Amino acid sequence: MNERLALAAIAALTLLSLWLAPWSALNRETGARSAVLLLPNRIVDFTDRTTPVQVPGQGAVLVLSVIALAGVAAASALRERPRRVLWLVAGALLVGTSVWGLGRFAEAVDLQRLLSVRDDVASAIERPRPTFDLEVLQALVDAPEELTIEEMVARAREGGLIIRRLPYTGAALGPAAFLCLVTGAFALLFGARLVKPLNRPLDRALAGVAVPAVSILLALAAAAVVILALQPTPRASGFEIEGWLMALTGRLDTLWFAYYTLFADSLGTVRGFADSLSFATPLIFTGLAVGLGFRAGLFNIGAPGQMVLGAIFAMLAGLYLPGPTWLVLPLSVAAAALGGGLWGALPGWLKARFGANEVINTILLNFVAASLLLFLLSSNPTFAAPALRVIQLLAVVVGVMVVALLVPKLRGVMKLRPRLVFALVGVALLVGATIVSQPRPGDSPYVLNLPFRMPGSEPKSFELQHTARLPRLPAVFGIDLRETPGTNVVPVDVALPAALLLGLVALVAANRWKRPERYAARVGSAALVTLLAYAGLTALGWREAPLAIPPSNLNPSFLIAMAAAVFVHYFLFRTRFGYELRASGLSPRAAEYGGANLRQNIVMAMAISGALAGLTASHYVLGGALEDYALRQSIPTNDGFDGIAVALLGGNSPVGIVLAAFLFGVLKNGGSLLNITFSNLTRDVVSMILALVVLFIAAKGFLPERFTNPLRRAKALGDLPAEAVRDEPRHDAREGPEEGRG
Amino acid sequence: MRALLVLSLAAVLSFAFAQDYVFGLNFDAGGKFDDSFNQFTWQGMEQAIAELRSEMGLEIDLLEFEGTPETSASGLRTMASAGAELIVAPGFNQADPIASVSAEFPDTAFVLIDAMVEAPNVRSVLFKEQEGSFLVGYIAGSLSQTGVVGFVGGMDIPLIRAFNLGYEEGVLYACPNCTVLSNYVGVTPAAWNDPARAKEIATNQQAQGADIIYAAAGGSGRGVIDFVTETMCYRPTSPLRETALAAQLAQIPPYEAYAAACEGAEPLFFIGVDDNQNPLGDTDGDPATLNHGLTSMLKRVDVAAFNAAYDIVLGTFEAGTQVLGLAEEGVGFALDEYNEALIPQALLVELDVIQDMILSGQLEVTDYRAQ
Amino acid sequence: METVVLLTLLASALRAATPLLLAALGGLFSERSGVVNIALEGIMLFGALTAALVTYYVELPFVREATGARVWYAPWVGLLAAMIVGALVAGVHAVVSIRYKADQIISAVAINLMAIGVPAVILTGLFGNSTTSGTITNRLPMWSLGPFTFSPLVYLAFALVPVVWFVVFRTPFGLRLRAVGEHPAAADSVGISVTGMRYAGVMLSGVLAALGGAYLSIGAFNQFITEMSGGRGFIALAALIFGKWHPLGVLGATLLFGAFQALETQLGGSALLPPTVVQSLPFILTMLVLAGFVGRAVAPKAIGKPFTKS
Repeated sequence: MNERLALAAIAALTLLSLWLAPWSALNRETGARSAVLLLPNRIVDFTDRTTPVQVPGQGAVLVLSVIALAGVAAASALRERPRRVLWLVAGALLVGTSVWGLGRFAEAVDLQRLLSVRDDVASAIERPRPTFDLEVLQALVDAPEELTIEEMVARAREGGLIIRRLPYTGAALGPAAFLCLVTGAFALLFGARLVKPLNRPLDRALAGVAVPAVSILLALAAAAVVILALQPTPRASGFEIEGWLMALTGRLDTLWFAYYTLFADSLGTVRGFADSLSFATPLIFTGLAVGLGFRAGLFNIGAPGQMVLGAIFAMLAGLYLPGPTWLVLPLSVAAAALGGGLWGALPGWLKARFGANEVINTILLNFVAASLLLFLLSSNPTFAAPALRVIQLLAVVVGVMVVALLVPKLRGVMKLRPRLVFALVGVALLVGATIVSQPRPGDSPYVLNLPFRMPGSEPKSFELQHTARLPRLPAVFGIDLRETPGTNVVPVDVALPAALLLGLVALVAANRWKRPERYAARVGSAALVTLLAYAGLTALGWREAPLAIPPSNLNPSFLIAMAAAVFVHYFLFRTRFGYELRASGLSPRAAEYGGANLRQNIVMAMAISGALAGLTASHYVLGGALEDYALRQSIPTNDGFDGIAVALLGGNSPVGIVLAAFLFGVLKNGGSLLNITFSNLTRDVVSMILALVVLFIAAKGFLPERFTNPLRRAKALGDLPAEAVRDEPRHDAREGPEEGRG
Repeated sequence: MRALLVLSLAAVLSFAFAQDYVFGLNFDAGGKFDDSFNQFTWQGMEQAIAELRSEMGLEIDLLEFEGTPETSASGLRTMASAGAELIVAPGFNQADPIASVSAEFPDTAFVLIDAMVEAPNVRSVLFKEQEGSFLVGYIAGSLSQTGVVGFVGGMDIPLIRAFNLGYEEGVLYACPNCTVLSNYVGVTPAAWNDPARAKEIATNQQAQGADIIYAAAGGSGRGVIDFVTETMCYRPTSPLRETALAAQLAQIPPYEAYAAACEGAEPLFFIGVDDNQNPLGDTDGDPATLNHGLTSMLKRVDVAAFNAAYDIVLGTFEAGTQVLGLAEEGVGFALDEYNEALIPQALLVELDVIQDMILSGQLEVTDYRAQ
Repeated sequence: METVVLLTLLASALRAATPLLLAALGGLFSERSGVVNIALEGIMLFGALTAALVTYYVELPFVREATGARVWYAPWVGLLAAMIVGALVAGVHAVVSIRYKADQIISAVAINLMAIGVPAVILTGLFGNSTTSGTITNRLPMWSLGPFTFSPLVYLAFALVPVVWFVVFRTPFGLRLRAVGEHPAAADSVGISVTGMRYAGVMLSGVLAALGGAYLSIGAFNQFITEMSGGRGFIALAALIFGKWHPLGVLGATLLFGAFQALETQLGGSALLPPTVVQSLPFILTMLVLAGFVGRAVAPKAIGKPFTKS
């Protein structure tokens, strides 16, 4: 990999962006119209009404950034050691300059925002409305003390004036500043290879994320074309774009802000973060379900159906199980797993017993599950009497057939003349159906009354008992949104979880550091770390840390998902059964030779996989993520398909799957925002990105084999002797015992 | 009904630095351009914004969102936290998201159409669909030449059953011997956007003799309209009823394709819904020739959206439940250049009488939902 | 009256069977060559989209001039374009799964995912909303035959059954195709290009599946709607298995599934039987067949396995 060329190219690109691309955005209105700032102090105002802000120190930022970039580029021409030193220095300068510059920018905008709000309150006083309390407002304008923006908004509200949209909203860094930071980070990263011991872990990390990272970048690049094609530069009506530079600035800003919208809310605000975690929760479950299947050499496309069955079971348990919360809630979660597990075990059994391909069967079962859900939830099913008789006849015939199949002798006969039997049964059915379907006197339609169905427009069940509900985020902290709406700031004991986490880290770290250490000593020292940390954090006031709790559908199902990830990791990599599963996934014949019971493993793996998918019900039904604690027909089973993408992106490892699911959650949240923010972009841009990611990952990111073949990668990193790498014949993952039947 | 609370806090405050108002619109299943429910709501909003701009010089942004069940609440939250004064949400599917989000954003006004949420900042707008459906049913029953008329419902829910029952009562009021064929596209929200299946249903209803088909199916209604404008006509297999339609048809020149394909046949008609869909029955761009839209049952969701926007700006927004029927001109039937030649004067007089009877309570149209 | 209803149901079943039949016959080529094609669903959607868009833009200048203008060739151009795009999309599946040896299921899943997002993005760009295209004036014409009037694609689909049978079982091409699907190594050793045959099989399946999609958008209706295939690609796959990878079996299976669908459509809102009961029958039947309860479905042996020349 030619890092010198790569870094020089990035530096050149960044240099170009300093000239052409916005360095920061002063203001963004709804509809994504912006006023942007290019270094030094060139302002392009697409909103046509933003008062310019004087930002100090921009000249210095420009000069220093250019110097640092020149340094990064020039270093590429040097020899190994000086090169890395220069990269470290220039990288640090670049990052430092950008951070300092952004700090000054933020200060300037904050000040201007305060002044603007004050001016506007003053102008509101001149045109009073009956609801205003003029004294309060006047006091606000005259207030000598330094108020924060939140205090001003709160006081204005007391005075009867609601400020909904603050001036200079969306002031943030632009593409040029971002590229400076990225270039600086890369320069530091490659400069850090000056320190030899860092080389191996760095390389390994790079190689590990190469395929997913390249795939994501390629998909984002493809999205850029779409974004630019669909979305003209947002601007105020009547605003004319003059000259190519302004046009280019507009295009770059559109593109940048689209990406910014995709990620910034989720990563930068508590509400967005909570929402992305909430979107990620079901994807963790389905990702784990598909990933576990992959590991066992099974392709579980049936997660949507397993989700449905899990949801139905959870609903039944949550509605009818008597008892206290500590009993009903865990049992309801278990019911969700049971439902999904059974629905997953079915195709597993069909594969193990009859060699039926699980891919097709899981697809078919998805449709069956969807019909079942509709049958249960849509208006009470009505059967006309003759139709009911036909169904009864059908049931009898099927029953007879099943019995006949179970009797070995009859089964032999049927195998001998399958077509004859088929024809006979068909004729019998037709004749029988014609007879029973004749209307009889006294026929009345039969209405199946399902007790859990909620009457009304939407197909859904009644709300679950309170004992079966997982509280949503605000409720976890005892906030009742009906009393205190919006984002609440409450004191939360952060010290305890933080100390426990530190203790856990200490435990793991001690484990890594000196393996043969005695168990008791390790636990003891970890406990000591925990205690010390708790004491220290308490002293820092973390026991009552004020946390902003936004309204969100995030609920403890997320914790269940994390636990499931830990379970899958432990199960796959630390148990005998998991080892067998992985072995049969890699090479079924060898595993069978080694004593694994393939058939049993297939059923078990599909059952666990299904159970994981079924656990999504803890989010969508028990967790009330669809706005109420009920089973709804609209339960988004597409998550089951997205789970495939999540598992692929996560490389089928639990850690990877959790990260991939989080990325998907971020993009899902960002997609909604994109839809609202830009008039011409919809959420579908995101689904396109996700599909492309899957496609590129399937094609291994079009990367050379050095990155994609685990054996070759190991060799390239020097973990394996060269002779260990041969062209291994690829084993088909879905080779199973069914081959004998084929 | 609960006491109304005036949200005067949402009143005008024009800041120099930003838009005067930001409104939000969260579409229901079926999407923005469904030629029906969603589109009609959107048109109401757009019209209000355009008029407010020209009349008062206000700068107003409309945020639009096409959500899915799991994203719709978070989309509503995003629009509310962007500072929207008003969020309009058409469709009963949105009742639960509106219920939770309206509680979280007490300063934002919400308008929910077709469902009811009781909250101090939510206006629920309901319609007496049965009354409008009764009128178009009366028209269909008076004019049907086969004595068989069709009804294609979208999602099988009480709301659409109310359309169905009102229509049926109207048809039978005009023609006690007529038959009404009723079918539904599906039982999920997908039924709002499955015109192919609606077309299949219309095909089957026509084969059973229906010559006028009423579609109350959101975006799926396009399937019924497509069937009617594509098939254009039917050849009667049994003797026709004598209705006033024959005399009207004699005066209307057929359009070219119809004249070529339908010599000696009788025309098919659809009845539109929500918006005035009569123009969709015009295949040659000339309203004077034969059009296939007999009439449309107007459900003025656009007025609901339009009024909400104006109420916010004028500071007269009131929460609570509004039920719009014939009396409030919230429902009705469409009469325009596309179908005035089809509907005889005498029938219009009868319709006037019936309207008066409904308004005075002499004639009661059953509300399926009240049963 | 009774006969009228029955005839209507029959016609309805034939119409419902058409897209299934086209896609399933396409799938037959792909699977006989040894490549699983779960992407049928996605290819149908791309076909439907292309047909509608191309027709729309071919007729646009004329329709702008005069509403309802007849442009007889517009839908046929759309159909041709759909076939080309179908082949191209299938080509992506082929390249990723044959050349890059990706898991055939995974690349197909990616294509199905794309078929949901990409059309929506394109529609947003062209028509300002993410669900529907503009309506077209010139759809495929209707041809009458006896008491029925159908789109030409309906006749084409049924006429294709004997053609496909002949091609697969009576021509050298068909023999090679089957050889590649049953025993690629043996086929390779007698000089048949395994990858070449597979590319051909997959791309043919793309052409036919796209025709099925085009039937939905410009045959049976007059615009494209996102996800308008509604799982028909998967049902076609089920029909392919139910019909045991044989054209005649596929014909029977799609007719049966089409009949179920017609019945289900008729049941909506009637107090006869909940349509959901009928909805899932085709799938349960297919599972029974797959498990060997009702006859046995024998897949081409090398199906799903990438071929590495040794």
